[in-house]
Formats: sequence, structure tokens, C-alpha cells
Amino acid sequence: MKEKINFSISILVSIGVSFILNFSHVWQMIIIAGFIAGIFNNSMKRGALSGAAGVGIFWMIFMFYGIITKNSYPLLDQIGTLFIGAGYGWLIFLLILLIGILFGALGGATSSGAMMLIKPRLKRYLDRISISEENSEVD
Amino acid sequence: MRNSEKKVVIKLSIIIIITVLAMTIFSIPLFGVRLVSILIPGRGIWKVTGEVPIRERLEIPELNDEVTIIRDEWGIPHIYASNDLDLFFAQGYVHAQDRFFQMDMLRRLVRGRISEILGSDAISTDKFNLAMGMEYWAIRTDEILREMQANGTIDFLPTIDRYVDGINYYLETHKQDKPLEYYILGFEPTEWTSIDSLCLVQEMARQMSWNYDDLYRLTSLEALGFNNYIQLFNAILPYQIPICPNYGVYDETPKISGKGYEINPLLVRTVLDFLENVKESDFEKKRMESQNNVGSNNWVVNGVKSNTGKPILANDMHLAWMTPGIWYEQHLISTETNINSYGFSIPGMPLIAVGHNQYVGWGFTNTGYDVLDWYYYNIINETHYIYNNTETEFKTRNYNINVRDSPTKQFTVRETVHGPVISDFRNLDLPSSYGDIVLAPQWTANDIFLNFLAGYGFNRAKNRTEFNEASQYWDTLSQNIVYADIDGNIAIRPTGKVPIRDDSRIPLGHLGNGTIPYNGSNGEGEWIGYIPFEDLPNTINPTQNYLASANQIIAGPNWNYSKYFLQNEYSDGYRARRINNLLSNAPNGTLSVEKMKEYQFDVNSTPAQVFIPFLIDVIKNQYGLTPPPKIDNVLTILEGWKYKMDKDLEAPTIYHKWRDYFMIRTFNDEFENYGIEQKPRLVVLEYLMKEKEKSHWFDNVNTLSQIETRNEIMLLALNDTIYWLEDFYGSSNPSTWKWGKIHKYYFPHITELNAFSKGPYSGDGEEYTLNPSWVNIDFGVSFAQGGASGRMILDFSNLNNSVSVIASGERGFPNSKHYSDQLEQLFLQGKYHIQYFGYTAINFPKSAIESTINFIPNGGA
Repeated sequence: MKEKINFSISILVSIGVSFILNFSHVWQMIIIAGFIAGIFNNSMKRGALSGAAGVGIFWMIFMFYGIITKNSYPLLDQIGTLFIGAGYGWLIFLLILLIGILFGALGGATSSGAMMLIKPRLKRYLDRISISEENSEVD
Repeated sequence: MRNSEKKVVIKLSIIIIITVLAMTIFSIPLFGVRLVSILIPGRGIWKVTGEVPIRERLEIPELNDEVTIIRDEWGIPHIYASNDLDLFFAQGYVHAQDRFFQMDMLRRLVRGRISEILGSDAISTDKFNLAMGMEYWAIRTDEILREMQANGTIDFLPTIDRYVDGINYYLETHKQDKPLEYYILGFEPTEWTSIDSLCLVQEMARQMSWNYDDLYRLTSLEALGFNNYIQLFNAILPYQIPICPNYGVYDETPKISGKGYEINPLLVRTVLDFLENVKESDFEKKRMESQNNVGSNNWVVNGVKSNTGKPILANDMHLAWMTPGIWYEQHLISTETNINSYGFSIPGMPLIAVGHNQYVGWGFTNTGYDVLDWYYYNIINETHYIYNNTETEFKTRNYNINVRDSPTKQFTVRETVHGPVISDFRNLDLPSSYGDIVLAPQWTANDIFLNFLAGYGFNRAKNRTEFNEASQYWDTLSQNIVYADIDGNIAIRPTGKVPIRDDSRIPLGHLGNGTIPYNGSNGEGEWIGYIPFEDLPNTINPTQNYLASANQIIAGPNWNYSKYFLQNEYSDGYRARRINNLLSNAPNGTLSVEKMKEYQFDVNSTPAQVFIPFLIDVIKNQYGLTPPPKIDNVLTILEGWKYKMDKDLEAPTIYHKWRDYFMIRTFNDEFENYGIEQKPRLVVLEYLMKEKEKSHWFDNVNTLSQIETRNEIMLLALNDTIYWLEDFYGSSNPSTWKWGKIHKYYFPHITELNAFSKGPYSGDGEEYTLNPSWVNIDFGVSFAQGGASGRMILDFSNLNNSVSVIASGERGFPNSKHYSDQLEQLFLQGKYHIQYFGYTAINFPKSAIESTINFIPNGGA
């Protein structure tokens, strides 16, 4: 249950961070949104999934918002025409989404993997500190 | 380390490697475009706003008073200001808001700054344009205008400066609102200057008058000999109806006699090389191919002909199509100076270029005045040449051309007393020359120009006298300016600088009049002034009750040709014949705005009307009642045709292809043998067909044993046509040969990227119809990229009834609904929109208001 809650929170946090990173000038920073999502998860799979979901959901909402309010779809279509052929705006839309999902997943997997390595060491370190503190109290 | 941890480390390492690889791969530009960085949400395309804000209130420094900009349902801004300075500030603002990328590209083109954004592929184009001296003369004009303003000769310069301020204010405050093209090409908008605006006048002059006609004529004359040359390329074309009707009519083509002119073979070789090498500039090559298609229509009828009792004026200018188009519709109001003008403006230039105010209206067609002469010189070395038999040093202009991703290129242009040595653009590092000869043009645009002064006068004129007064400053970019006013006057004035040449030193047989190149070293053909404004042809209130210009000959034989020379090149006159026919045959009191719409959209082909009955007669004479089945099918179609170049008909296809083959069969045997590029006009072929049945041009010189006749050539051309069309359409059934399948309209984006272009659309018309479209079906489907660029009809009984349309949309953003709305919803259907001319900011119809911007003086209410 706790894992499920953590997973949901991680997605929400990732969406929030994606929103903030939306204002960054360096697009590669988006990996941070996935990275932060991964921290909340105990497995790399869940980490990747939460990062992917967070970035993917935010990007999808952002793109739909742009299409509705700024009529951005013709621009996607034109980019499609430039590189693929006429009428492939939807493919560009999907590609952008996939890029978001990919980097979200990579960020999430990285941080959750890192946490899997760090957490036991941290626990052992904290245990050692508490044991030595107990010993000193006994002395 | 535990095994499970080892696994995690391995996985983590793989993920990090994938991450780094993915980031690297997605950062690599694709075809020079950093694609991912412009697609990621929050960047690039997601910042591009299709439409302007519905409601905006801006506090602007240095504004004198409030300004209201109302955009109507077509996105056309109506600017209401109390004074000129604020008005032009706002005009600059909206030009930048809607069209800055187009403005930027055009000024870069003129100023040789394309390689700065596109790289080394564009160096030749930049060098060529710098060599032409357009930027140089824009800078000189700017200097002179500032001197004139300082000494009180002119007073309008502050309005241009405020216009420039308006553009730069928009750029400064909307750095995040770049058009998509900037993201794709990867560069930033930069500050606009008054010189940039002047450069656009130069660009228009280039489009209207820069040419190599003298050089082509020389090669034709050399190859054909005088007698043959004059048969095909006489300065007076047959069947012309002069624009100004008050100088007589050409009953027959004047006969010119002369002797062979001994042409220096080195000169011909130099000219041929030059013409070939000019095409190294991609831009110039493309422009050369479309040069002969530039033209326009304008006509005006007075209150006798119209059904309103007042004049009706119509104008459509035929230019290369672009998306967005060259024109930007606007309504400018300044209560202080009583400016209230509506019409077509050019983004990057203040004022209304073509349109009307509440008193007068005006429209343009190109005059075809001969305003450019080529000179050749013997050179001594890289730095000196012979002029007037004297050793003379070239002047030089030096440039540093910034090239994207490459070192800056140095470029030097040499100048003779007449103009720049254009061929210098070829060599990448050093000035070049062809053997011992160099070529340089003298061109009226290579001079100070005052067109803005004229334009300012047009926008403010209240009557014919004031308009005339302003017209005299319209110097470069000469135009047939058609005029009408609410007092009922109609007029036409072909206006601009026309050189007077001193031909006293030309050798025997030289055609003079700037027809072929002059020997600059011998001091031939010096320009000794311009034809005085008052001596130029013009017509006011003619007895025929109408005036029409369609780039035909300007004046009849009674004009002062003994003293001055006007034109070497003008149109075949088919459009002029059609519109003169329509207007002269219309009974008095019948011509309405609706009728004018019909005429502007008219696709009746005058040449078809001339050629096809001849062809039908020839077929019948040859075959009697039993032509071969294929010919019989074609004959049936042609006999039932009313000469409309309708996209859904097959007769236009047969006619046009046959006409092309008739031309080829008549002239190509001689012309290919001689290697001549210049082609005789269609109207010359018409003349030969009708008047010179036995002309030697019909004989195929390659068939030595027989002499072909006109009729044989016409039938051979028909056989060629049937064979070609069967092959092209893949069917021997002529009912499948629809004109719209082979003739299409195409509106390319200024970058020529298909993604931003519009079309192709199946199209009506041809080059010679009143509603024109350029055609070239030599190799299959013709993607016509030029024709009417906008249409305007002005009703002087009530200017609120005036209508207009442009061949694109107002806004240069591909995701705006105004990117191509006028093109698709109106222009292609022959429809127009009303102008909302008679309204103020207060009573503007609410239902027609799309957005409103209020400029408030800084700290104001």
C-alpha cells in the first residue's frame, strides 16, 4: 500500500517538476523530473514508470493546451512535412511524447537504482552510528 | 558488494550510457535544424502564437496620444491615431507583429546578409546583390534624406523614423514571440533601420526593372543579322493599343531600316559568358526565369461609363506569388493631418503603397520604361579601364560578408562611371574580368530616390493637383499610375525617371536608345538627364471615358518620340486588347463594381481567340470533311470552345500546347542553330501568321530539300501536340486532357520550404488572360508561381463600397487563421472583402472586430 502511495506521489511530484523545468532553457534538464520521481520508488521498474508517467502526462497536457490555445498543431504538421511528409503532425506529436517518456523513464530508473545502492549503505551507516552511540551510553 | 547490488550497478551503468547517448543523439541537428530543442514543450514551436491577443493595452514611451488598432475579421489592422508620428509608430508595430520574418529576409537579401544565416551556399547571391548597389544607394538616400530634413527641404523623415521605432519596439517587447522560421533556421531577429526600409524600395525596383534585355538583344542581333532581327524584335510590337490614348494609334508597325552593325566578337563571347555566369546566383537565376511574367492590370472608368455616375478604378498587380504575399492590407487614420488611407502596404515600408484615401485613389502597373543600359569597357588591368578614351581608375566598394559557420569573406566591387562591374561577384576572393572586357549597368535605381516623398503625398492628396504634385517625386520604380477622385476625374500617368541618352557617338548601325550595350570606353550612350516630368506622356479625362494599362506600349506615334525614347520592352498587349475591348464595348452607365470583379477574374484568352480560328480553318482546308479521327476529336473540342481558359476544360490544354509547338516549329530551327536564348513575342507570331503567310520563318531550315509553309507548320504542331498530350495524360481520349491537371497555382514560402507553402491548386487562366497565371508546360505540370498578387476595386460614388483581396493572408505565422485565409476563401474563388473604410474606432461594427490593441502614452490614462 505504502509503495502504491509513494508511486502516486512520485508521479505528481514529477508532473510538478516538469512544469517548473518547462521554463528552463536547457531541454535536457527534463531528466531531473524523472530523476526526482525515481527517488520515491524502491525498484528501478517503478522508478522508470513514475518518471515516464510524470513527464509524459505533463507534456501531453502541455501540448494539448498549446494545440487548443495557440493552434500549434499546424506547426507540428509543418515540421512533419519538412522531415517526413505531409500529414504527419500526429507522428511528431507522438515522437515528442515518446522523448518525454524516454527521458522521464531514464531519469526515474537512474535515481531509483541509485537509491537502491545508497539506501542499504545509508541504513548500515546509520545503524553503526546508533550502535556506537548506545555503546558510549553503556560505557 | 552483494550480487543484487552488482546487478543494480550494471543496470545503472547501462541506463546512464543510454541516457548520455540519447541526449547526444537528440542534440544532433537534423538537416541543420536542432529539431528536438524546438519541439520540446516550453520551447520553439510551443512559444509561437498563431493569433494576436484579442485585447491588449500597452503603455508606450514617447507616444504623443492614444492609438487604437482594430483588426477586422480578416486580421486587417485599422489604425486610428490623432497624429502622424503615432500613426506610423503603430504601422511599424503591426508590420513587425504580423510579417517580421518576411521583412527580415527581404532586407537580408538586398543587403547581402543571407549567408549570415544560411551559410556558404548563399555567398554568390549575397555578392551579386551587393554588387548591384541596392544597399549602397539605400544608404546614400538615407544620408541625403537626413540632410534634406535638416535643411527643411522635406518634413516627412520623422514619420519614417517613428515607423522604424514601432518595428523595434515590437521586437524589443516580444522577444519570445518569434515566428517558427527563426527556430528552424536558428537565428534571431535584429534591429530594423530606416536603411532597411529604403532597401525594400530598391528590391521592388529590382523586381520591376532590373534586366539583361540589352545583352540578349545584342546576341540576337549578332546571330540573326539586322533584317531578321528587326522582323522579330522591332521596338514597336504589332497590335498595340497605347496606354495614353491621346497620342494617336499605331495603324501599322513602323518600318525600320538600317545596316548591319559590326559587333565585336569578343563582346558577344563576354556577354554570353556573363549571362551564363549570372545564373551562379541561385536567386538571380530564378528571378531571370520569371522576369518576363511580371506585369499588372489597372483600369478606370468615369461616371459616364459607370452605373454610379462616378469613377470606378480597378487594379491588380502581377508579381511572384509568395506565402505570405508581398502585400499587407491596412487602414491608416491620422486626424491631425487628415490621413485616411486604405490599401496595400509593403511590410517594412511605411504608408499605403496602392489604395485610396477619402478623396483620391490610385493603382500601379509597371511601365516598362527602359531605365537600365549596359556598357562595356576595355580594361587595362584590375584597377584601371578606358573611359572616354582615357585611362580611368575603378572606384571600389568593400564588404565583409559574414558567413554562418565559416570565416568572414571579403568582397570588393569595382565601379565604372556608369555603375558596378556586376561580373565581380563571380570570383570568391578577387575581382574578375572576362578577357579584356567588363560589363557594367547604368540603372535609375542606382541613384538617390524620393519615392517615400511621393507616397506621403499620395496618401494625403485631396485632388488631382496635389496628387500630380506628389507624382513628380516618384522617381525609381517607374509605374503607370492610374488615378480617380470623388470629383469624377480619371487619369493615368506613366511616371518615373526615364533617361535621355546622347547617341551622337554610337557607330553606324548601332540601334541606339539603350537597345543594345554601349561602348563605355568610347563614351557612347551617355545619360545626359531624365525626361522632364511634364514631358512624360499622361492622360486626364479622355473622351473614350476609360483608361486601361496592362504593361502595353505607353504612347502612340504622336508623342514626342523625335526628342525622347521611352520603351524597349513591354507586354504583347493581349491583356490590353481584352480589357480595352470589354470597356469600350460596355454601354454607358452599365459598369459596376460587380462587373469589374468579373473582369478581374476574366480568363478569356485573346491569343486563343486569334490563333484557334486560324488553326480550325487550316485543318478544314487540309482534311475537308473527313479529318483523321484524332484530329477530328480535337477539332470538335476546339470548335465548341469559347476561349475560356477554364481548368475543367480540355480545349485550353490543346490550345496552349499547340501554341507552344507552333512557336517551336516556327523559330527553333533557326534559333537553335544560332544558339539564341531570346524568344520572339507571341504577338509577332500572330502577326506572321495573319499577315506574312509566306514568311521564311515558317520554313524549317534543317530540311534543305523542301520549303515548309505556314499551314504545314501549324498542322505539324498539332500532331506534336496530340502525341505529347496522349503521352502526358496517358490517354488518347481528349476529354481527359483537363487544363487544371497540367496547370496549377503554387504559392511558395519565402524560404521555399514546402511545409510553409500553399498549393498546388488546379488553376484557370494563362499568361495572357486578365486573370493571369504564369505557365510553363514544356516539361509537364506547370506550377504557376505568379499572377495577380492582390485585387482592388474602388467605387468613388461611395468609397465604403470599395473591395479588395490579397493572394495570401495578413499574418505570416503558419498557425494563424490569417496565414492564407484570403487566398483560400476569397482570392481563388474570385471573391473580395469589404474594407470597413468609413468607420471610426468608436463605431466600428462590433461583429467585425477580431482584436483591439490600445497604445497609451507612458503614464497616460
